[in-house]
Amino acid sequence: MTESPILFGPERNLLGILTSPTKANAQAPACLLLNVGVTHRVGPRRLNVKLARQLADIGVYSLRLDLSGIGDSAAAHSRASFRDQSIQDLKSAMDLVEKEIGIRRFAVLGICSGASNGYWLAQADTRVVGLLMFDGFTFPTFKTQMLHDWVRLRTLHWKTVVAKVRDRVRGLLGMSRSAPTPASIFNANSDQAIPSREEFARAMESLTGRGAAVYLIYSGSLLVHHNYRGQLKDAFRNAPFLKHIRDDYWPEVDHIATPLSAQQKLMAATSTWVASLAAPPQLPVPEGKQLRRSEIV
Amino acid sequence: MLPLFFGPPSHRLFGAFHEASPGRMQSLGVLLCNPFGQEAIRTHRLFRVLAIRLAKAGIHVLRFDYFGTGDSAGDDDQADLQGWCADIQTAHEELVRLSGSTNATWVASRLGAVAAIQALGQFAPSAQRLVVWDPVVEASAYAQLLRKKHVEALETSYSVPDPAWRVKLATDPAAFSDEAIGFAIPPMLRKQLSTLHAAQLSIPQTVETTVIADPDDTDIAAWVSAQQASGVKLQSVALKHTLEWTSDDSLNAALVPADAVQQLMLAIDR
Repeated sequence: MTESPILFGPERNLLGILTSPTKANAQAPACLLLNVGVTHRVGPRRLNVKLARQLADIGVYSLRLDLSGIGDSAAAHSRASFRDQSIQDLKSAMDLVEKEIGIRRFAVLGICSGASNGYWLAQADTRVVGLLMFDGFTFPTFKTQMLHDWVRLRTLHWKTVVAKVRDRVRGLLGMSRSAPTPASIFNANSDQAIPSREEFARAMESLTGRGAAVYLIYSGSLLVHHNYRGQLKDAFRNAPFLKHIRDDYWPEVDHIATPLSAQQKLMAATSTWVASLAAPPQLPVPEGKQLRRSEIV
Repeated sequence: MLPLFFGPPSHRLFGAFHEASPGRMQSLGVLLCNPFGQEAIRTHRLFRVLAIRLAKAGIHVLRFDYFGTGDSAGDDDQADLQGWCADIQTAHEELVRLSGSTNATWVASRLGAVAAIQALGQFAPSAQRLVVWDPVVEASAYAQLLRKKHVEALETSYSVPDPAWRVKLATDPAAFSDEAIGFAIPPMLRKQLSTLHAAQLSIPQTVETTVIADPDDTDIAAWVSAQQASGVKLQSVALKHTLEWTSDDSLNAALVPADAVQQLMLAIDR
């Protein structure tokens, strides 16, 4: 395995680390490992670094990168919105890998805000054949709310329960206005443009319709938003895409995989899923191809 | 900024070199030494901003990741204070090679300050000046802090925290001692933290030093007094800042306290 830092993009403002396997699996897609929030490319808990090396062990190339204005990538000069700029940056990343390695199939692996960026990219570029969203967009159901209330009731002191019931009743009677829910890092939908249920379903139909693999994983940090196995099936009853995606609910893993055991579970599942995306290559991929000298900085 | 890997093939370290702005060159190089684990993640943006400003002021800067951290080679479970000392020396040599200047200042925070101080005593040539920010001077207390903060991180991160975590933290001294907020604390590092005391952190008398720290931190104040009493040319700068080092708070915010950057700039560019 080798790792090479690369400055790329139209303004050469983007920094990525390309991890190249010693023995490449020519049928596997290359992976893009995305920023989570404003954490630089190593990822929370250094997850992107660990994952890149684990993927290299199974013959998979990966590029972990900083989007414009995050980590060590300078802000772009364009006036594009954050979402449009992110898509542009990630397309540049795919262009780079395609040019240097010859791979035209990509899997995008994103946690939280990274999941959102992966979602938008997958719709904008058909080179994306796999999308893994860990704690991406959530679609709560009535059961989600009931389970949330039940869990909270079990863990609260009786005085707090009484106060909350009183507040709820007052709210229902219009006697008080409930305070807005504070933005939280565990609100998977915070500070991102959130697709409606219909938009998300259409996007999933479109992605799975063109043969892209989608894997949605939800952690044990999203009690308000996603809290039981099978929630997606309830949220999107009878939607055809449900037969073509994979989803998991892992209450034992938190939003940014704090325990080392949680990291192991996330990385193992990711590697296995990426390996499953191997397909006959459209272009021959030279094994262990090295970057041109001029591109290694 | 020039991103690069350096060091021997079996021990590649990642670095980001910020070349001094031409025309303002001060023939000074600054090496930024990271803290440990989650603290290093939180410091990344601050050190980048500091590096950019120093480069604009005519100072060469090298940021880097120790072996087993950040983008450098190695696994988390290879964290080793002694190894980090050697990494600082390797990075210092890289800074001298890249900048052409042998006049170097090391800037180190938290556990990175421990590694930098130990490296000063072990290797030559090294830095002429040292700036340490909130150094860890009582390592065993730091190890306890990591345990406590790890449990707090778990309690914040999981929707349904396990009450047993807190009980275990209070009753079992070995519990939560082998990982902290997502990063392994391997046996070697645990041993180093348990045996390291302030008295072992001696700054060579030839190295001019600035210590930036919370004036209410009595451990650091006592260590500073001891260093000054032993003849070290040490200046103490009081700084209370908003950056909580050992935490997951404000994950989506870039943590760059302006007063901290300003004090670091002043201490470096004296």
